[in-house]
Amino acid sequence: MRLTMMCFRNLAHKKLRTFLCIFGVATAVCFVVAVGATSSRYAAIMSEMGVFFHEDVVVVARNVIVIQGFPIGGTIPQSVVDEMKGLDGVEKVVPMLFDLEFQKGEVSSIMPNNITIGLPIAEWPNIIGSAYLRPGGTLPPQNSTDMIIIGHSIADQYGIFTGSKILLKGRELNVCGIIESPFAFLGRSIIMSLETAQEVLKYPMQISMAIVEPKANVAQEELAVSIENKIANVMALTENERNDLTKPIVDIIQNWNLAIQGIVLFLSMILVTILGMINVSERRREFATLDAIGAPLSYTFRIILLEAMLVGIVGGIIGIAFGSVAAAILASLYTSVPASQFFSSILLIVPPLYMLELFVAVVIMCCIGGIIPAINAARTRIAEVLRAEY
Amino acid sequence: MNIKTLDLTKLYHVGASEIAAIDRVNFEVNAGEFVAIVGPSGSGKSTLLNLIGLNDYPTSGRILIDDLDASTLSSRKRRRIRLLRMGFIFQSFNLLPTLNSLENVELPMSLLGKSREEQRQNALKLLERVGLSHRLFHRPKQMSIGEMQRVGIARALANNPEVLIADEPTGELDSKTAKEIIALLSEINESEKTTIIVATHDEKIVEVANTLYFIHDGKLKLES
Repeated sequence: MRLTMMCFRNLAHKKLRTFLCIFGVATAVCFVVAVGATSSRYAAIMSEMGVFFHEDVVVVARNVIVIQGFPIGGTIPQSVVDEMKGLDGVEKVVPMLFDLEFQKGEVSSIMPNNITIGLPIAEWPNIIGSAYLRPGGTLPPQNSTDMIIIGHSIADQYGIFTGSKILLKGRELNVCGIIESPFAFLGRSIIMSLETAQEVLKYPMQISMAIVEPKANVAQEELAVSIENKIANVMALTENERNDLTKPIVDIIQNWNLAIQGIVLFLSMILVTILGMINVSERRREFATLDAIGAPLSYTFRIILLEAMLVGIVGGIIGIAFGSVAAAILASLYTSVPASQFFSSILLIVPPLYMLELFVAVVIMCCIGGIIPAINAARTRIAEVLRAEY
Repeated sequence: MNIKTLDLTKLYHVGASEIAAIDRVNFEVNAGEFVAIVGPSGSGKSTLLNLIGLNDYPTSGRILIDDLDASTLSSRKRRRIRLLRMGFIFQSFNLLPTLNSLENVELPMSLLGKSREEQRQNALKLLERVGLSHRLFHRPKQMSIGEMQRVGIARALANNPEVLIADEPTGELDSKTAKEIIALLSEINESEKTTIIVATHDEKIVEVANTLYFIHDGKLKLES
């Protein structure tokens, strides 16, 4: 405890230098959290999309870009659904139309402002999955044409409740339920019947994709080949194929993320080493005195290491705090969702485990940064230093 | 503690030449003695004290501490002797700037693993003894140089050493403060029978010392 206090005072003794070093470490950590959390979140969103239709074959228009089974653009005629129903090995075919609406910056907006999904009402529970509707919400009757359910994030952003009416592309729709889901994808969804979606989005008799459930004894791969052979201009993707399409993107995001984090943390380690070296060179007489009065080498070593660790602890805490705020702001900038919504769910964007891992990594890096100065301090030759003062 | 040196030599290499800072010094200090080593600047006083204080290794010769050859001891064992049996007083005090008087004095005791309570009690007694009971929580920057040297002396006495090694302890003090410090050292020597070895220019220290050595160009000569 005394050593810790002493180290705190030593750092405080050189206020500006210590402040700049902590500022540097905190900035690095802030950057890592902001960029890391944002990119990890997008990777997670892409991965969580893979949860949908995981045992089905997804049929989309040929040559469209597909992210985890969700095609970006491109439609196929709804008549294809009936064709597929007639194929051997098909248990069920669910047509689906959806539209990703980007409002800000289009290309840079990885997460769309909202996702309009149209599919037969009977299939809505499959999309909602384990999510639930907020109290008061219900699924509409099968023949309903103006009832919709929306994600909690949109509802909270625009103050929409169960029973509210909304105007979507000129069509008035009734909100019959609000989905509460940890999935960002569902949180921004507007789910309606297929017919209503085709009308609202102006894609008459068109669908974005069809989800084909194979019969129990039929393999996805077998069915996909059969669909592609018998139906023109479609692409049938099995679960593995969909994962293969997305995995490289997720891997690239995660690898770059890791590399950037590593470089930034390495630079903060260098910063701590430089601070330590300057401190040691200025405090040689202090270390020589400690040696003269009989302090073990480990004592001097610990002083420098502890000082580096304190810089890491303080810089890490400040950096994580500011980085979390920055991550929420960044997420807001990229999605059109107000930052206040992200603040309330900050632990989803920057999970506590990630904070802890990063904090430990920063402290360890700072300690490593303190090793060379600590060795230098412990190597101080007292006779030389003390002789030099006379 | 008896300290004895046998043909103690310390050579420094400056470029191609070799300088004998200490040249075959034979020297003996008995327990309870007050020894002053006098000599001009660069004569080897500090080098000799560093060797005797086990802060440096000789080029040749031996240092015997109570008949134990200390010149070949490992740095760990030397450090242990310094901590347990020696106290150092420096010309420029060398107090740790971020610690207050009390903490500076407690430091050697904490290195020895004494309890917080014991450290505090002893430090209070020592600071009272050197007349600084009113400056317990002041840091070096907030004290006069005379007060700093008193804290330095209290720190040197912290682990109740058998020998005090002081290098120009009055070098930076005004004459009045220097006189007080000399009186304090003399009192410590008489009351505790602590051996004191002082390298100095100060004639007043010479007056209170039992034994006087003169050093010039690394050669030591007994004066009285």
